[in-house]
Amino acid sequence: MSRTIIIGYGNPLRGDDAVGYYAAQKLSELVKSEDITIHTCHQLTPELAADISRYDKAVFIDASIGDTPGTITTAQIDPTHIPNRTFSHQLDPESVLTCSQALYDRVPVAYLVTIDADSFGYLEDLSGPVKAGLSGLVDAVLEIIKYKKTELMS
Amino acid sequence: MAKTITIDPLTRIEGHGKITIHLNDNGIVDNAFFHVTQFRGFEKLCEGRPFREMPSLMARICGICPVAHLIAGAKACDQILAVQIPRTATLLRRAINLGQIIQSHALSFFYLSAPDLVLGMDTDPADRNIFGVLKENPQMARDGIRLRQFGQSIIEMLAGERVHPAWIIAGGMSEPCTQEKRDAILSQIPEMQKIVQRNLDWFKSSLIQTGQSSLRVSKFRDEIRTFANLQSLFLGLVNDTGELDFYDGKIRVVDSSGKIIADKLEPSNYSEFIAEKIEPWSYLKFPYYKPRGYPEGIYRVGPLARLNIIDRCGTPQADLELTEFRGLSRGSVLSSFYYHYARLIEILFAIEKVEQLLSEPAILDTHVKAIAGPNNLEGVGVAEAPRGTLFHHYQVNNEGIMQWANLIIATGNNNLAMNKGILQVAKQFVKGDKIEEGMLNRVEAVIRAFDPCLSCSTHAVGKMPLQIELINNDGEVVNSLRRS
Repeated sequence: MSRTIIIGYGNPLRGDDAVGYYAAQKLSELVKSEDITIHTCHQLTPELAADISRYDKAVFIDASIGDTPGTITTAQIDPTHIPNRTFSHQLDPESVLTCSQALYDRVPVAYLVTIDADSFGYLEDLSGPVKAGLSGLVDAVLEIIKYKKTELMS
Repeated sequence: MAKTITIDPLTRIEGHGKITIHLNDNGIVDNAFFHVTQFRGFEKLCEGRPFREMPSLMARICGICPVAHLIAGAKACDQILAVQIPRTATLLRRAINLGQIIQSHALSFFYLSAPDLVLGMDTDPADRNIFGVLKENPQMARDGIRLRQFGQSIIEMLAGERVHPAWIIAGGMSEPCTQEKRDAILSQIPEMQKIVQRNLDWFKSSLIQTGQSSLRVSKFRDEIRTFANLQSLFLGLVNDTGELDFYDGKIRVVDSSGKIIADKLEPSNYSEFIAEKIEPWSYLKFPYYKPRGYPEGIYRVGPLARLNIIDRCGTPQADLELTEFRGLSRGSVLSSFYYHYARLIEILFAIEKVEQLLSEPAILDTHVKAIAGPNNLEGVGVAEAPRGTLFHHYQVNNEGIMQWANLIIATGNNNLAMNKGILQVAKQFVKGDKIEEGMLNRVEAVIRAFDPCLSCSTHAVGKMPLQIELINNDGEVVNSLRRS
């Protein structure tokens, strides 16, 4: 059976930055399967490389900067991407995949699902457009993991 | 023409800061300053809040070492309650504090400093990062990840959250530890000991002199000689038998020769022996040892200081390593390059100590909290954070509402030494007005050796990129490098 990890990340004290975090929390209420692990964190760190190497599929959920707040985008992540940046305390999804490949010789098929943010201010709440788009963001992840609505009902 | 070089932002450290290096008319380094450029002011925003909120509120200062702030904050609150917390609560606090030491030290050594140590200070910065390490030495990268996971798992298993756990409270702990959690942590101990020993051996091998007889030098000879290799005092907590203690004890101060100049100082009386100077060019204060005045009272805290002040670690393997470490010098070990070495020994100690603590039968006792209202109007909590001695001092009114707070943060204690360190390294490596990458990196790396947490020490938000500027005697920027 294919195993999937969903990682929603962001800072709950910085407005829309937390939307990935909240989406993952919502998914953990909806999805009940031993083959699906849902993880929330403030930021991506190298330790996640060890975690994702044990899965066949990984879905990252994050806020993005774009022209139209609330716009949802799904993209497959290129695991051959070679990061060229200074690490301080956090990574991007491509870098986590690179670490997984280099250190554990295994990398899952991975997707990044994002929603354009409106505000990254010091807030504990999402902006209107992002709040309205949260259910769509959750649906986009469910679509990737092929988790059927009927499964949700049961 | 006299010039100034500015490094802004600094990379691979926590927080925001910059360095300026001032050159005289002959292009020789005249002075250097480490500026911390952000401010949050937690002491002020806690005023008016109930004191019981302090451990959790103060933990928000930092996402890397929140447990240290939880511990110091809770200890200050214990004094306000005027209670002796249950022994099991003390054991659990000690264990979780050591979990934080392991994960924070692993982050510093394996993620932030390993690129310099494994790849070399002069390597192209495009390769000199964690990705370069995982290509050059994947075993070390995997080891760093495992140690981080282990430290975080101790925090998460005991406290429920990796970041900002709410488990440590005024008067003790909110919940006891279960046998399942204890056994899960203990089962990982042998693997962790093996990992840290492997990396200690690697680090020590990098110090071994190589080459022909008359040219036998460590590849880090220049860094050892110039990375804040200076006379200073060393300060920290030791327990009543002179052993390494991250949770409790009395303050000991040792000089460069290794002589104890003050011992069994009561941490609550810190203001009798520590004072803080403010400089207009930095938000980070400059603490100093009061009896010696400013700046002669310069002291260092953290891993290097702790290993210089103790009589012994108190665990078998760490004590063997300490004996070898002490062989580096007849007095105190002075070069701040050895912070890295000391950090690895402290990880080893923490792993051994966690095993000891969790093996005590009392660890599973369910009585973990003392209940009381405010009985004192003042409390001081002191603990050893990963970066050094951490002081939380609170004053409340009769209703337990916070009236005033003062924090002396580990990184701040090292401020004078960091400034002297960048001057020393700049004098060694900066020549003329041409800025070269290797020079830039060494100036950064001396700061990185201290593993400063500027978010903690200024209570500021963010990461710490670095910028270098070269400024002439008229204040004009004539050259700069900036990295983010």
